[in-house]
Amino acid sequence: MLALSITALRERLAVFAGAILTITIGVALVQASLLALVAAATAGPPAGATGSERLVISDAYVSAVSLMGLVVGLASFVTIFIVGSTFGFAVAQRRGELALLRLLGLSQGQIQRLLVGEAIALGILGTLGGVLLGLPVAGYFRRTLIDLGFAHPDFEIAWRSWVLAVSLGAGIGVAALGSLGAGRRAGRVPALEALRRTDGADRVMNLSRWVIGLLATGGAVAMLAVNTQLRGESAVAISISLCLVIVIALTALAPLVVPAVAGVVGLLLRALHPTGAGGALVGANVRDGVRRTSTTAAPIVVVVGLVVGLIGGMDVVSAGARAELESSIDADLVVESHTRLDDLLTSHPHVDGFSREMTVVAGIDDDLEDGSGRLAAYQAIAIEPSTYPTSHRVEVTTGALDGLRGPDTIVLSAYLADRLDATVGDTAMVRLDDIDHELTIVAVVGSTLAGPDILLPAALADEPGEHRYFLRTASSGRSELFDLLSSLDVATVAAVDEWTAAASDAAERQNRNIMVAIVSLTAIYAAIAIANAAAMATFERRQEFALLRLTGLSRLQVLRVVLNEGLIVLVVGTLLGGLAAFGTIAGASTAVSGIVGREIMVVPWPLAAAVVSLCAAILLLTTSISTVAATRERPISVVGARS
Amino acid sequence: MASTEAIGGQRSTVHPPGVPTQDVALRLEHVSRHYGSGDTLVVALDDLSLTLHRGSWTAVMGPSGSGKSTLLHCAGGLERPDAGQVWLGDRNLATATDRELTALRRRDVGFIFQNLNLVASLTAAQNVALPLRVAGQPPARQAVRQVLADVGLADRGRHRPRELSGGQQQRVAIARAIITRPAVLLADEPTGALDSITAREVLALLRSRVAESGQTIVMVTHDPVAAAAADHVVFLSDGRLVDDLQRPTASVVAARLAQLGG
Repeated sequence: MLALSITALRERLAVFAGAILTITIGVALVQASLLALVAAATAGPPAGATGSERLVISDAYVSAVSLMGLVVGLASFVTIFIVGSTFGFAVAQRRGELALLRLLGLSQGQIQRLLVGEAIALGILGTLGGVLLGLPVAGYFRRTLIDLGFAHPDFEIAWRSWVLAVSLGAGIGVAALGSLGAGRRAGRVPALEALRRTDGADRVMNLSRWVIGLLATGGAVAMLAVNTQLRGESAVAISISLCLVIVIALTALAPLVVPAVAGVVGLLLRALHPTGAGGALVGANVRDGVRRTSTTAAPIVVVVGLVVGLIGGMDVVSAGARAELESSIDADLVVESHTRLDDLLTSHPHVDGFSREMTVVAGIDDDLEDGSGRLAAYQAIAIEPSTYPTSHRVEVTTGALDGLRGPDTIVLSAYLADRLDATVGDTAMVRLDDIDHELTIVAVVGSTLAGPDILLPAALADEPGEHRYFLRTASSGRSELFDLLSSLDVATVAAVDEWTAAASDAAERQNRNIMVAIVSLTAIYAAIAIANAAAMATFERRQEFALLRLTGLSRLQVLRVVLNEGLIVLVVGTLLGGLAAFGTIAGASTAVSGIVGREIMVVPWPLAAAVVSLCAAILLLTTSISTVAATRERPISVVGARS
Repeated sequence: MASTEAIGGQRSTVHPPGVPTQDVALRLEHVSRHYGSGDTLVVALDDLSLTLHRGSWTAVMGPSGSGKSTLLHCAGGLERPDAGQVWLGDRNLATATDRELTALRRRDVGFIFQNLNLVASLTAAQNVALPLRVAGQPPARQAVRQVLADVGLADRGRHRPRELSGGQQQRVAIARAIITRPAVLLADEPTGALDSITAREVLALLRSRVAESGQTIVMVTHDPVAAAAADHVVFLSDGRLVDDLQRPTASVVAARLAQLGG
């Protein structure tokens, strides 16, 4: 039987090349992200860093570990999904050959072993490529982490020999797993099918599709219902899980949608070309090839769902933070200065009032359960409690801001208070610039999306740093004041709406960059899978194309029919991927709206249009090239040869 | 001494004279098979009974949709009858498990079909050796060469199917079916895709299997000339046996077939 596996492998190398490629890229992604994760987990701040720097750099590495953890998870999932889908498709294409082997006396178990044996051979080949491809991919992750500020420029990702075992296990395991279900179904192919000219495709909507589809739908609904906590890294993790669950549900249930879409598009084509047979042919082909259409559409669902859903979900968070910042500040001008301007501002006639604050880094052990004593870096704002409320809207839940007048006091957000399991009157250990302080909690304020999570008395932030002043002025003297402050070379001055816009833009850019870092390579992988599936689906139909040409269609007409079918695949993929993206964005919107206190919803239409166009280009281009290749032989020699 | 099955009003004498009655290769008893239900109900076999003796060659004829192929599929254990029994030697295929049917296909039944069904990626010799490999036996070069020589393709072993003519491909398929020396060969239109000269060669080959190896052949065909090569012909209509003919000639077969509207 092994000989048979190897023969099949050698003979079908062209067909299997796609399957090998999916494993290669998947292994490369998982290996590289895993190495990056381990490197970040073992990295520390460079020698000679000050206390605050050490805290910030260590905290950045913690973020890097979380980020790479998400990449590892996402890459693993997409690898399993794409490899499984590719192998299932490859097996479904060989029903005729497998039925023949059944007719010749191969048992169900032998068929299954044959397919798993092939898959393991492909897994080994694919993994070897993946281990090599993983090296430049690790370099990409290194640069990305440094660019995002999650790693010091000295950060290196070292090769670790144990990762070879992980890669081999993952590559071979995923391949074997992907072929297992398909192999079991293939084993049940009735031998009788070998005698029929037309392949009696098995029921596409099989039990496992129903079970997976309905379970995942239930999971997605449940996640949408309870999804109200959306903070920091957990927000991204929740978004990713939600998106993946919806993608699983929709791709499993895709065969239910295909006939309806095919019907509508077929009608449309008939309306456009009432005399041509193309419309009827296209509609019938797609309805007949539900498995082919669903499988080709699956990677489109992944690309559109992941990219639009995750980046769109992050955009909602950014939009929420922007709305929050805009509504929480009540001032006209913002001045940033390294020297104190209090005297100038107090005496200036056009200044109606001002508040001063300073951002400092506070280290808090916010995960008491893990017992590590590791400090997380939080942005804390040192304020004057008497003036702060004049320019900032703060929702005090318990206690009073005025308590910050006392020394060694602190105000926490509800989120952080909850994490520390602390309330007003308790104390919190906070490290500021290498000195530990035991601070009494005097108030808890409502949680916000972008923080701050800590307010401190101004006295605790004596270090030299940048002071930020929020000024209220009468409109008459504003420009005069603006010019005066601008002339001081120590200060930058901005109208408050420009300042909030710039701050929000910067935050949005960083958020997007983080999401792109998480999604990009996985999305490229899925995009390659689109080309792969399209090519496999086209080559499967050589015989059918030859028959069409014998019926009188030119190569161009065949291509037109196939491209119209590709259009249906695209519509199905975009529809389902759009639904997955919308579900993810809606989930983010629910959570963000709850925190901000008003409806926040943005849909990234330009991004969606770009992603769909890219998918369309990949799909239609690959389909065209492979159709041209598949119709190159003279039709009669294709129809004559029984393959 | 002819054995006559007289069940359900259908009579058929289906063995050559001089063969003992207990030497039965294949027996169908009250076999019914239908597809669909309600308005789309198709009765492919209707309470059909038939006994075939070892070393006999039977042609099955009848109009399209008369149940010929279904009969062949039930005889080979590829389809399970809805009612009735199918005895291959002393095994009842109607109640056999998938495992038993798999073993049966490996040892006792060979299939030859119009669609050729060769594995395109394997050479002629590899295709012929496939059943041996499937059975876990070492592919005996000598046996493969011998069988290929038997079908007149001694020098074509290294060719792939696409490099062979239709008749040559069909002979490779026959070689593959006979290499395990199965007791029963089931053939569906084995000459359907062949020109008349090649068809005659294939029929001669089948005759030699019956005469030399004592194998039993059941052959579905539309072609009166092919049917005339068999020992006898049974005619099906609407899933029932309606007629049979000993030592057929092409013209008599054609006349009977015309009466049935086939």
